[in-house]
Order: sequence, then structure tokens, then C-alpha cells
Amino acid sequence: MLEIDNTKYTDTAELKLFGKVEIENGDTKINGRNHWVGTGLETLAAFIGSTSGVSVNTTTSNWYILLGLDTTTPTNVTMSSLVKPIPTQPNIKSIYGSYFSGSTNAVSIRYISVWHPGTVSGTIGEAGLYLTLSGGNYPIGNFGIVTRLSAADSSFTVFTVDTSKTLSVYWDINLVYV
Amino acid sequence: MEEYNIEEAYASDFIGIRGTVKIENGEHVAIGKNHWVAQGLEEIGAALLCNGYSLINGGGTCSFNFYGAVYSWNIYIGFDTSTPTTVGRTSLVSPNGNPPGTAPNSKTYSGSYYPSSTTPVTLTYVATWNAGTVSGTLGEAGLYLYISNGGLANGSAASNPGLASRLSAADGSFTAFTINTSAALTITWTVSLVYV
Repeated sequence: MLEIDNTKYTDTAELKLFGKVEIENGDTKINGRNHWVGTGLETLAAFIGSTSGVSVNTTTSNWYILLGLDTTTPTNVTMSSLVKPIPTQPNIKSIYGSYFSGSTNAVSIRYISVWHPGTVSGTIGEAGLYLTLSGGNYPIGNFGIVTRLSAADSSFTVFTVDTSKTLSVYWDINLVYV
Repeated sequence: MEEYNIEEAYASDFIGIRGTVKIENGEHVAIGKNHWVAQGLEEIGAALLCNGYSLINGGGTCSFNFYGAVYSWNIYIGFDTSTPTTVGRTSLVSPNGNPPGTAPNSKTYSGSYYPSSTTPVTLTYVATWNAGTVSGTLGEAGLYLYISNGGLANGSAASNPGLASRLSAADGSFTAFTINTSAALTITWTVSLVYV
């Protein structure tokens, strides 16, 4: 998981949310930074801005990571899906979160998805983290992409899946003081 | 209020969560940036981690009552002028009246969600104290939101709503001033979510 140097965050005037993605497939090791889309921003705002007195769905009530084949379309904030998604969901997924003690540190969340050998193939140019959406334009319980990793954003170099190997994606989301 | 350049909205490596506070009291106007405390950060973090009502990993369960942060909220003012904000703070240092403070005479909340999702989201909390209802040297103010992250490392707020963010003269965010009791005191707390 991404290491956070908490000593850096001494001024708390702003909170900053960012994500880093690792992809492993045999000898291929990818590290890239995600780009947020509007659904992600609005969903986050919904938890700060909601007046609901009814227990609300959190973003991980339903979630998954998808891979995609597009290699030429940069991310823009109006995107609501991958450009060329591979519909195959991962064989395994899990989520881990770290709330550090002492009230002085960041929140770090790791979403993991694993595809068994042979279940996905092709040239991977994009990936998306899909969460349960809330917000001005999204009824609570809706579901969609919130952030995207794209080769077209120069976030990583496209690669062809080695179908004899497991493909794993580690998506780290960090909320820090800035 | 701080203006954000639309160009920022297309560089989306990060989402920044900012708070700008405007205090109006007669002819006196002060504007400053807030400082977030852990309860605010964790409330937002819980939204990204809790799976329905259960925390999947991390040593606890999310509060059953995972309400919206504005389910109950308030703004309070205080007199401290020398204590900088630390992220572990859960209340104002020297609130006006009994803790958490004297509630405003009126308050409103509004949120702006833009249809295209390409511009910042702005959440605005406004509190007004009528003329003569508060007095003294104003050195701090706090935005209190519903904190529903029970079971996280730091637990839920001791009482709700809990302090999520603070404006403090000791942080250099604004200059402390003596309240003009012949005029209303209005605080407008604007939280913006922006691409950065």
C-alpha cells in the first residue's frame, strides 16, 4: 500500500483525496495515478452535504474494478464509464482500510481485484474504480465509475495481458491533510 | 469567497476539500480559510470505506446510523485567540456560552451540484446571531457536522454534531475582533470540492 509521510501534513487547511494504482501481471508491474471524474467528486460531496436522517449507502456498499482496452482517450471529468470496458468482473476482490490512531493522520483505503489466469485478455489501456454513487445527479444506491487510470493520460504504459498469469489491481485511495 | 478557476476542473489528479469562512458584523468583514480536524477527515473517510453498515477491515464497525453530515449541524463561535488548531481538537477552546456554544438565532444550508459535474461542488452553511445576542472578542469559530464514524480508530464524536473544522485567529486565518453588539453577526462557511 502507498506509504504516507504523515509528517508532511502539518497544515490542515485543505483535505486532499488522491489515488494510486498498481497492476501486476506476471513480469508486468504498473504504477500510475488515477484521475477523478465528476461522479467521484459529487459522491464525496454527498456525504458532507447530505441532510439525510436515514442511514445512507456508503460508497463501498457495492464496488468493483474493471479493466478496459482504450488507449487513446484521455480522462475527462464527465466520463461515466470506461471507454472500452472488459465486462469480466474479477474473480476475487477485497477492501482494506486504515484509520490511524492519534487523530493526526490520514485515511488510506486499498481496493484489490484479482483475475485468474485466462479470464481477461487483450491490451490493457484503462482501468476504473466503480463505487456506489450519491450526490446531486445520482440517486443514492446508483453505481458507477468514480476514478479512472488511463494510458492516454500518460498514467501508465499499455501492456498485453499474459493470460498464463494472474492479473491483480491494487487501487489505493488516500485522504490527507494538506 | 475564494474563486476557483474552471481550468482546475479538468486536471483531476486530486480532489481538494476546502473551507472558506466569511464573518460579517456591521461594517466589519473577515475572511479566512478553515482548518480541518480529525473528526471531519474521518467522517469523509468513512464514506469511502464503510461497506453499508459494516467496516470491512480496520478493527471496528461503522455506526449503524451513518447519516448525512448535515443531518445535524451548527456553527459556534469562541473567544480563544492563542491556540492554533490541531487535528485532534474536538471542540472550540473557549466557546461563547456553555459548550459547544450559543447556537445562532437562525441558520441555513444549501448545496450546489452542477449538472455537468465539471465545476466545483459548493456547500454553504450560514449562521446568524441577532444584534446583542453575542459579545466579546471573537477569535475562533467551528463548523459542527454530524459525525457518524463510530468504531473507527478515534471513535465517533463525543456528542453530535461534532467539530469538523475550525477557523482560528491563532492559525493566522483572520484577525480577532470585538463584536459590535448593535449589529447582527453572520458567518458563512463555504466548503468546496474541487479538482486540483
